[in-house]
Order: sequence, then structure tokens, then C-alpha cells
Amino acid sequence: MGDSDDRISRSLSIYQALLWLFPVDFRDAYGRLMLQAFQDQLRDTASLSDRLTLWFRTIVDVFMNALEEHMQKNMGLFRSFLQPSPGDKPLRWLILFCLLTLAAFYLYRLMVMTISIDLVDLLLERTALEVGNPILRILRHGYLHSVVFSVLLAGFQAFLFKQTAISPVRWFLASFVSWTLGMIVASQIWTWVGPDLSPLLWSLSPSLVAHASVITQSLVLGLIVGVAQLWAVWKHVRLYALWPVITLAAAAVQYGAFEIILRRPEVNAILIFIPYLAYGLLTGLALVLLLSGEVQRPETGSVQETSPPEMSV
Amino acid sequence: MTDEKITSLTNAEFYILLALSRGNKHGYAIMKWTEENPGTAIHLGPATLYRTIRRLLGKGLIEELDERPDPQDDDERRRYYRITGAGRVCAAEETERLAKLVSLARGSGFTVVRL
Repeated sequence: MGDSDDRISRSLSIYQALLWLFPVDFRDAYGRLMLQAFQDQLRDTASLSDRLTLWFRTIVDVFMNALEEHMQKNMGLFRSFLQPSPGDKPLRWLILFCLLTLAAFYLYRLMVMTISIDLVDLLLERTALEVGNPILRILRHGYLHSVVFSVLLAGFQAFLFKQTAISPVRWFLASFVSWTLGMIVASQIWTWVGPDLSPLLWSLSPSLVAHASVITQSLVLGLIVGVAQLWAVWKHVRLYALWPVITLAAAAVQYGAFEIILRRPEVNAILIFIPYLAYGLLTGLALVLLLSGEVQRPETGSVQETSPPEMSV
Repeated sequence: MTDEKITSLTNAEFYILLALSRGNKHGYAIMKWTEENPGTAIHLGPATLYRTIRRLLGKGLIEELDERPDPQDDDERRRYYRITGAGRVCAAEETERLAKLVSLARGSGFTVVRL
């Protein structure tokens, strides 16, 4: 009998310690009742296997419910942290914008490295040759990567527009289409126009030819993305006509940074992120400046918070 | 969409309402009833139980009793709960919904064939 009491007493001490995993208000309201219910359960266990089963169930019960309780309690705070308004919290918004731009690039790199894109390319190449479909042939030339990257980038950025007057759907569509198209065209533009333009540029300035590829890529990507995103922002951003100029400048910085990095004898994983960080920083900063003072999304679009019901004892 | 009111009861909420429809009970008695009843036979841990009870109290589907149903043989620290009128209506609607679901499933040929 004494052993049994000792065992129950030890088990109750452990359960009492586990109750600290719950938020304090829940623990204050129900901790004692939970402890009592657990004590009743312990008294009903006869064998070692019963006790082990009870402990297993109890631990799952405590951890799952404590996690849910904390999530329910802190969800509003978490949501407001992840979706700051560029007008109220410009720095946090800018940091998140840059981080999400980098995250898109990182995930894209991870997918390229882990999923066998070669296999996809092989399938597309075979299909393209058999069907003779020009779209499939374009996809085969590695442009599938541009689609993957564009989806991630546009999706992550659109997420941040939920607290602004800019429509996240419009931003996503404009960014996805323009980034995909822009990256594909930019990667080929110099091979298309280079032979014709090079003599002309050479006559103007020989040094211009060395940078002509970067300049044309920046022009193409910056303008395509800028004009497309204008569709998403023009009603809400002051001086919206500036937007394509900003994306052009950002694309120039991005391609310029790539050019410098790729000339280095060794390119490490950190350096390769710098061009995208620069792009995210420039466009994010511009958005913060242009959106400052803009109204937030109307209240109708906001999520209704429901607080857990109060216990009246 | 049909015009019927959608009841939003979780399994645990429904089981607790069922347990209380058979008489007022304290927390552990509810746990025992759901575990031992062949129709439910699920294990409600103390945390799940009291989080669900808090939700049901908030929705007004159950209420806490002031008086003790069993004053002699009882721990005075226990809290007893009772199903409310709204709780009975809600449980009845959920039962109706489940009955329709079972009927639909049987109509789709989901029946146990005992050999």
C-alpha cells in the first residue's frame, strides 16, 4: 500500500511539473482539476502495462494540448508579427521583404540541387523532339527553373501585401508572369541582339561592349517586371510612374553584382545570395517609401479574432 | 448548400455532451464514460477533457453545477457539469447530421459483411 502511494505521489509530481507547459491562465483555471483527474486515472491502473499505457497517452495529451493552447493564445501576435504594415512598421516590413526574397532564391537553389531537374529536362527534351512543340523546347532549356523561382518569389512577396491596399493576387500574377518571362528573355537577349549591336556599341565606346550583356539583361528584366507590377500598384503607390525605373535600377544592381561575383575565382554559397538580397532591398525600400502613409487594407478584410471564452468559477 | 444549420461539434465535444445527457458528471466520470462506452470507446486525457469543457462552457452548451449530486461520497473539490437546453439541441442536430452521413455511406455500399 505504501509503495502504491509513493508511486502515485511521484507520478503526480511529474504530472504537476508537466502542467507548467500550459499557459498560466489555463493552468490556473484547470490545473488542479487536471491533476485530480490524472490522480483518479492512476488509482484505476492495476498493472505495470496499464501504467505505461496511461503515461504514454498522458504525455501525448499534455504536449499536443499545450502546443495548441499556446498557438491559440499567441496566433494573433504571431500573425501581426509576420504581416506588418509598411506604413506602421517599415523596418520590419523591409526586413521581411528581403528575407522572403532570399528565401525564394534559397528554396529554388535547394530544389534545383535536390530534385533531379536533369530528369525533368530529359523528359521535356524527349517530348519536345517528338512533338516538336516550341513551348516544351523553351522549357527544356533550363527555363523551368525560372518558373519555379518566380512562383516562390511572387508568392512570398504577395503574402506581405496582405496588410496593404495592394491586392496580393494582382501582385502575385504580375510578378510571376513578368519574372518568368523576364528571366527567360533576359538570358537570351544578348545572343539575339548582340551580333547586330556589338559593332555599333564598339564605335561608341569599346568598354561599353564589355558590359553590354549586363545592361541589356537589366533593361529587359527591369522593364518587363516594372511594367507588369505597375498593374498591381498603380492605384495605390504615389509616383507610380517611378516603379519601372526602380525595378530597372534593381535589376541593374542584381545583374551587376552577379557579373562581379562570377568573375571571382571562387564563388561560395554566401556570395551567390548577394544579388538577390540587393534586388529585394532596393525594391522593398522603394515600396516602403512609396507606400508610406498609404491606407491599410479595409477592416472588412481583416480576420476576426476570437478570444477563448472566459471561465467563470 | 442545404438550408440546414451546420453544427460544429468536434468528436470530443459530442462525446462530452452525450456523457452529460445521461446525467450530471464530474470530469473524471466523463472520461470513464467515454472510455467504457462501446459506442465511443475513446480515451480523453485530462488536458483534452478540460480544454473541451472550457469550449462547451463558452458556447453555453454545458454549465457548471453549484450543488453536489452526491454530497456524502464525494470530493468537494470536484466540479460537476450539466448539459444545457442549447447543448441538447446542438447534440440532436449533430446526431441528425451523422445519421444522414451513415445513411449516405450505407447507400454507397459501405456495410460490414459478416462471414
